[in-house]
Amino acid sequence: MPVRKYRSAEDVPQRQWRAPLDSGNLKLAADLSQLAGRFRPRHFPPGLHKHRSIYAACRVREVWERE
Amino acid sequence: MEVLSAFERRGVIYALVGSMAMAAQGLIRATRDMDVFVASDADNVERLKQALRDVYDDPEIESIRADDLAGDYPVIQYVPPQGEYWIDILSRLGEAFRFADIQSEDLVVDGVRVHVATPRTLYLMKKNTVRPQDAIDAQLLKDRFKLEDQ
Repeated sequence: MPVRKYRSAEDVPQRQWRAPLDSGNLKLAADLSQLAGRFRPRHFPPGLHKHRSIYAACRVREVWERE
Repeated sequence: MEVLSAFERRGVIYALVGSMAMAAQGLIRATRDMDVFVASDADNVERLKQALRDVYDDPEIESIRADDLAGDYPVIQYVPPQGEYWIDILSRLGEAFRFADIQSEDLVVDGVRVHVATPRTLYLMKKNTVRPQDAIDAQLLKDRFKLEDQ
């Protein structure tokens, strides 16, 4: 992927959105996720992790993502 | 897609939320998880378990319980045996969101009907959470879909 340089943040192109609910969107995200997984393989602790709130789940997620 | 296909086959009542829902709505990025909001009644949770068993040979799935999801544990992270990603199974977010509050729309991928939270629902779910990424997503959704606060 080429390096692109900008003189200010305002010059950076905005995120590219695809058409909502396009049938290719999920497959593209799955392919991209799989590719990212190949570049940086991770192993999360298998099994069920039950949480009393989304905040508790997010804390676990942050730990997993940091490791 | 295998999991979503199993959900449809088994008739699971769910809505895709989180990063994969953002992707379905057009913002593609890599993720390690898939978030699904589910109806927490016993029949639906049984269908959910059957669908997961169709995909994963994992006795842990048996420990998913409707009374947990409807009660003290409304968030379950399921990491399949390979440990490469996880599925967040949600039945409510605090007092703000229950399954009945989720508006969804359908997307068909390779013949599989996928129920995806609407941009407005995603925006409302993300705008008041503590994760910085959620705040960014909320703003992106607001700008892209010209959403107004009500």
